[in-house]
Amino acid sequence: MVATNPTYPARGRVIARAQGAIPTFLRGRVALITGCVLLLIIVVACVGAPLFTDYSPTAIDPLHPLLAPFSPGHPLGTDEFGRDLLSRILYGGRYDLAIAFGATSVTLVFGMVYGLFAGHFGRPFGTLAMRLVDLVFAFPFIVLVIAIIAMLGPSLFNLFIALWVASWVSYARIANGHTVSANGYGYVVAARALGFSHLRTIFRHALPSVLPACLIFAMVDAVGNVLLGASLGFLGIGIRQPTPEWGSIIAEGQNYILSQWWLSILPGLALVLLGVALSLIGDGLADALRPKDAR
Amino acid sequence: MQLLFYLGRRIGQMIPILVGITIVSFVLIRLVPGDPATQLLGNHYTPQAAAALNHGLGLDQSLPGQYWFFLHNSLTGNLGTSYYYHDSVGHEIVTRLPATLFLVVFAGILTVLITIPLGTISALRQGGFFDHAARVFFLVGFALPGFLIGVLLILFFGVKIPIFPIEGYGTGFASHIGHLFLPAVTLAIPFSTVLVRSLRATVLETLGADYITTARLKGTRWFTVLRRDVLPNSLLPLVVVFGVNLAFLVGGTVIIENVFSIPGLGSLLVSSVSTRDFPVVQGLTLFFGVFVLVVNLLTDVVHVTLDPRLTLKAV
Amino acid sequence: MADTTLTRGKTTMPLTSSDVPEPDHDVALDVRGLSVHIPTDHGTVTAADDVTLTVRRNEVLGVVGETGSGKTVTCRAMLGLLPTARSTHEGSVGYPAAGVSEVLGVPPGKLRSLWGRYVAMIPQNPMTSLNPIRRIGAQVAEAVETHSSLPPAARRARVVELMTMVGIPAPEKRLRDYPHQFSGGMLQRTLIAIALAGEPQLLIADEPTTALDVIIQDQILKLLLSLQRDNGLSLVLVSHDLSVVAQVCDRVAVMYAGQIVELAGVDEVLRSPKHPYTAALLNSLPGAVPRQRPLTTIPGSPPHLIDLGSGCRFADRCAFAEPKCTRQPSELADASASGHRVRCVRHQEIDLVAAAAKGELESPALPSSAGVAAVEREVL
Repeated sequence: MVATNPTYPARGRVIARAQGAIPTFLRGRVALITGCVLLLIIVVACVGAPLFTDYSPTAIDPLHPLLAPFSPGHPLGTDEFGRDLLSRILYGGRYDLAIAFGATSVTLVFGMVYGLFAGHFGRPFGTLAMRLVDLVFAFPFIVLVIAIIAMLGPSLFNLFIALWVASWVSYARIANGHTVSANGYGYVVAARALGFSHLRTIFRHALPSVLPACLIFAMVDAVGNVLLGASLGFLGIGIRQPTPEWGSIIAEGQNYILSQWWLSILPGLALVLLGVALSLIGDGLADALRPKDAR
Repeated sequence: MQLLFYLGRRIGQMIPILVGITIVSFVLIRLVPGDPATQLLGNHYTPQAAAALNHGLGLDQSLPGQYWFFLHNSLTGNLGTSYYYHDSVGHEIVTRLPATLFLVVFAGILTVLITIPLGTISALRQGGFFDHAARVFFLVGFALPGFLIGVLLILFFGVKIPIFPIEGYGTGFASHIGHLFLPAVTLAIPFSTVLVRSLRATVLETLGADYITTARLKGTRWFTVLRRDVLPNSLLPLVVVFGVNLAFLVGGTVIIENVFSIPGLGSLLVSSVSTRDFPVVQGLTLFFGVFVLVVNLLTDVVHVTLDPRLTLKAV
Repeated sequence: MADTTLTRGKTTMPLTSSDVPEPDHDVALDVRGLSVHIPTDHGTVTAADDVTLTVRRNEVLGVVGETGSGKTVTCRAMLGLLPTARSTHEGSVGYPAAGVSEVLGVPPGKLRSLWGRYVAMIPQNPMTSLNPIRRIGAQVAEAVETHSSLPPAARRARVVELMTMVGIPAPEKRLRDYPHQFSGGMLQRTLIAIALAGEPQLLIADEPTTALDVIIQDQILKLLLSLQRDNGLSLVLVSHDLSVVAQVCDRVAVMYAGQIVELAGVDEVLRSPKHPYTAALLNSLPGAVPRQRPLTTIPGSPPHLIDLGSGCRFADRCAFAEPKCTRQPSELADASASGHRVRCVRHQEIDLVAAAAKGELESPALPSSAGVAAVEREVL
């Protein structure tokens, strides 16, 4: 654990960013492009599922259960009911993608606007509004989501409601933090002193400093939402059978993990791929947007 | 003495949140569509039974009255009666708490054991092979759902090479350790991805600090500088990150307990969802909320005690 | 003209030329042709470029320049430290008096025995230069114990002795304090105590007073000088403030854009500067200019240290610039037999003292809005 070369803290951003083998702008771009390409492939494959498979994801074929991959007509084999695994994964991905985008986009917009307003108006209303955020944060995310689904009943829409209720607070906190610190900056002070309307000050002057941080977090959050959606599917309290969803496909395959391991591992791989794609986009965005950051 | 004052003040600050937690838990059960009595009694529904049930649940009172009824009961430890177990919810929680608590502490310790070396070495060897390998590992680790890690661990270390039991909680400390090792690893992997990233960043920041140059220019051994200056200053902010994210770990137990069939609070929550045992769900929500609050308080206390710059009066 | 201004005994000694090997054990620090290159996304920054200087025993060398002129990188290199793991260097830094011919590119394990013992540093910012979560006493004691194995009681006595020496009142009572309980001046005193713990012969002070209040600055400077005199230390004092350097140094090196542009005895530099930049700096000092003459500002700002040619780097801000200044390489050349060295191709043609008297130091070509003070705020 001995450093190879005696070095000392570099002063200034130019020097600090010089560390690492690949130039920063390229490093960020590689992650961003890889992530976007991966995501695009997943989206095309799932949305255009009928183009890639002739089977319905729920069509039972009792004569051909548990076929191995590369079987004629079933490139990934079939499950215990003879349903085509490829078709189930492709169609199932639609639900996971819906969770990734549907849950995340709503909370991103609502939470960010909430945090912007709370930060702009400050004491006492903004501060009070942020108490509500603290309150939602007091519960473990999963527990709150499960509790809401439990009460409303399991369905895709109720899953959305639960995710919306439980996860907008992160954006509110990020946006509020940035807005409060931006309030001290000259350009916001100036905008206020010039008598610009609240809305104009918030959206033209505070939003630009808040949006990058929220977008970066949205990618992390989307991964979290997908994983949670799949976990609930796995536990059987999210989307109900026979709807194929990656988590529930994994759960069904679990019974055959010793003999037909691919029934669980392949949908698991799809899930990991989606998560990696979103994380890479988040990493790339963070690298690309950081220099413009107010700090 | 100062610590007691600090604790008192912090608990005072927590009261509004505590009240909020009870309100959320109270409102939650009101989300159930339809009349609770109809839901509960099912085939046994008679108007008399419904009235008796509503009275027992305090549902015949006004809404604020109902809340007061709930709050009063909660404060006295009465969280209602499970529809399914016909036992008090409080008792059910207390019975299952040890397994969850054991799992959380175990996973927390494993997380620390993973995080400190990985985060430190990644930062010291920034841009090196180890750093890149760790980065890829944690990129995938973050995208891996906990239940899939659990399934894989069961497959490899429970079935293929059966060195660990794969379900239950066991009896006695040693048995608990054996039974909960795989679940704790399953929880620690995703949790440590967050912490390793954070530690790597703080170690890098600390390495660039002026006082590290001062320490090295004394002629002190590099390893001594690491031990005395780099690590303590990097781990201090990690305490806060650990505390903030502990809710994530606690939430993870809900899923992992089900994968490994551990009789803890998480499996209780999930089974109560299936059996529509609303009072248990409500009681658990309340309990988890308070639990997280208490853990956050403990983290703050640890942080204040460790950092000489934070005096108990000022915080 | 130059030889008449030499009054101090020490500075009359002619400097040895850089290409002659230096066997002299009277030389505490020998920097030869030092260049430090830092690769960045925007190109390679050459933070120090062909820096050659020596510091004799018991001598105080001032290094003056604006922020971003390469002073800090140069003085870190004097300790064997390079800015990042990927930076490269040319030239050498040696400690002839210690029998060490090269410290650059040497693994830190080997430099450890020199750090604190032969050479020590006093940092620029005392507020961030002590570990915030370790007690002051422990941090000073660490410097003591690294170079000697004293029993705990003797070590403690030595710590108290050091802290008394640097003027910390009632040090026994402050040993258990943390850095945030000390003022900036006290922290700098502590750092001086740490630097002196190993009884070094060479002290490198990188703008040691910049971060402090004016009154404290003076105290710290006086403390440093008295310690230098009492212990016979060699001192490199880096500063952006020429007036500080003028007060305390034997010789001065003026840096601009990573290069030394003028190197001479302090009186020579003050009375007859040979480089237009030095002259302009002097004429921007309130105390150095007669009352009736207006203060000069230097127009423009210093160049970024990326891809600079071999021509004069000051040319576009210089009142005396001619086409040949940028066309031909400007080398550090001897301007007098007494070792006055200057990096200006026109130094024999121009009379800066006369020009200053006539107020002709300002370049008419550029607006003179950006003064030295503004330039100093520029970050690298």
